[in-house]
Amino acid sequence: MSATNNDLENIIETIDIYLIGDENEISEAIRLVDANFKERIVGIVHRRAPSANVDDLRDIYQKVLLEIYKLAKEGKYDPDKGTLKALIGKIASNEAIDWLRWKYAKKRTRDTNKDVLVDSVAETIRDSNIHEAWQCAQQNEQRDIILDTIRSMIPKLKLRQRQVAEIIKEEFPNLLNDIEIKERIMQIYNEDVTAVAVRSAKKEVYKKVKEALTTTGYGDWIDD
Amino acid sequence: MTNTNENKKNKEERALEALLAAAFRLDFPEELSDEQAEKLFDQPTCLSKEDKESINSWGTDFIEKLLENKKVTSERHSQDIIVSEELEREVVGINRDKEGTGLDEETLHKIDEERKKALAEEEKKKNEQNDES
Repeated sequence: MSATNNDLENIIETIDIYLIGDENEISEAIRLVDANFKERIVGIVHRRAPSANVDDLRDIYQKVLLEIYKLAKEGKYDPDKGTLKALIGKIASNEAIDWLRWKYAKKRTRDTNKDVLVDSVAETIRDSNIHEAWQCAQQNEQRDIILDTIRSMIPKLKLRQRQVAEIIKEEFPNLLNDIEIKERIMQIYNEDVTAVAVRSAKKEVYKKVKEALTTTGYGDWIDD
Repeated sequence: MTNTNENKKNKEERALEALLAAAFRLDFPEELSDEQAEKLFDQPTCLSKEDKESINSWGTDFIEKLLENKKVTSERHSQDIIVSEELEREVVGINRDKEGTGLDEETLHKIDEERKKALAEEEKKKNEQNDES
């Protein structure tokens, strides 16, 4: 049975009260967060770091709870200044990003400047059929909807496919071939896969991005 | 496949990769505003049925262990003993090997022993260096 909005507000109010209490009350707040928002928290982490497997998700989830505990213990949470939802959203997102950085830190030669990234995305798309679909979506102010759809579809892929998607997005604007992706999987996840398996996973990733364009009404420009 | 077709296919695939990068790295800022964080919290999760089942099988034992461990850590802080970020990451990492549980007393004791040994060695080295100089 799902909680109604009123139930949710009551739970949040109770957690808010416990979070500004003593150590035992803060512990009780963490138990309530776990009982009521576990799936939401893991869901946020999963959106940010799609390649995280269930073990990784549990590790990151624990860090999220520890961070909430720590902030409350240090008296840094004030429900009058910020909401519990925003607090959880930010912490879960930050912990997922930290995990990604930790995972990729040794492998990344440099962080790409944002302007370079913007130019590279524009340049790469301009050179394709997708350019027209993209232009049209931007004119209709549906760019955000497409990107949001992509973000919601990638986490639904299988683990290997999510790993490939993560390597593609992390390495962009560097474009890796199948062998290079295979090597990255070995370096980052310590798993030996065949180039054929990489190719197959890549195809599924492309399929999801295409689906995002199709479901938002911009699939006519894409070649199958 | 001809070279022209191959090139065209490559271009389309690269464009799809660019959209993927845009979705996750350009349109999803690392520093979220309160409003963006709330929106993220309210969004439906993209977890599969299997993922949900795994998550719900975690139980509550590990939360209790986590909270217990937090108290131990906080007591250590009060004794001016710093638990490094790296150690904390290791502590969290250890849990994944113990399905459904967190740190037990024995593990905590071992960590504590190792920590004391490391501190003692560090102290010994410092003393030796001081003696030499």
